[in-house]
Amino acid sequence: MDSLSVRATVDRIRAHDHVVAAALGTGSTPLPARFGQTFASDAACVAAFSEKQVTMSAGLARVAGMVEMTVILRVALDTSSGTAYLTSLARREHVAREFNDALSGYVRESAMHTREDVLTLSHLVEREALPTYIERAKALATGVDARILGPGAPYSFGPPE
Amino acid sequence: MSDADEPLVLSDLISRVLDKGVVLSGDVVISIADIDLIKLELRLLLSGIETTKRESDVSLLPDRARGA
Repeated sequence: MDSLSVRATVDRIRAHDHVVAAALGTGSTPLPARFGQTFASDAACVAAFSEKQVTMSAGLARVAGMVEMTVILRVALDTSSGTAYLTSLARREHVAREFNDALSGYVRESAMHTREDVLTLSHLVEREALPTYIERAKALATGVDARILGPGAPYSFGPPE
Repeated sequence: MSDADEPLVLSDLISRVLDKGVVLSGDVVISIADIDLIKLELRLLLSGIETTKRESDVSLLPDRARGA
């Protein structure tokens, strides 16, 4: 297979997400593709998909009727001392756990990712449960540095590679 | 049904599209030219300042898909 690189410009990244969002907007939940994949032709793309048909079908079934919500928590990690650091880490973990516990009734699956000061919770939520999820998440977000994004396509809940 | 009302800033978009999602082909190869990086940094800087502004061309779920 030719290895053609795709230039990751801002416009192209937006365009990619637009297509995914449009697919989600049909009412049927898609599995988003990662940016930057190239195929020699449409037929080659279809063939690549067909090869993974079993995995893809299972993946689509997993996210059917669902959307992804994202909670981005920012808790400053205190690096003034080892103890301060561990304390601030524990506080962040506590906040994350509070969110997950309070929202667990509305969340089918969840994933967590941390990077520096930012902790990201990804939640797979049933469309019907969305209004209640959002209401509860917003209530939890008062008093902490939390951003609640979504609903979006399930980028975080794809099939294993 | 209301959505979360938070603007999707560029860094959110980048991390999901480049780092997540299904990979069908063997490799995912992207390139970022210098000019793209400069533009990216400028945009990230700007979107950091403008987090209260909704970026109109990054759309959230349209009404008809919100489980009618």
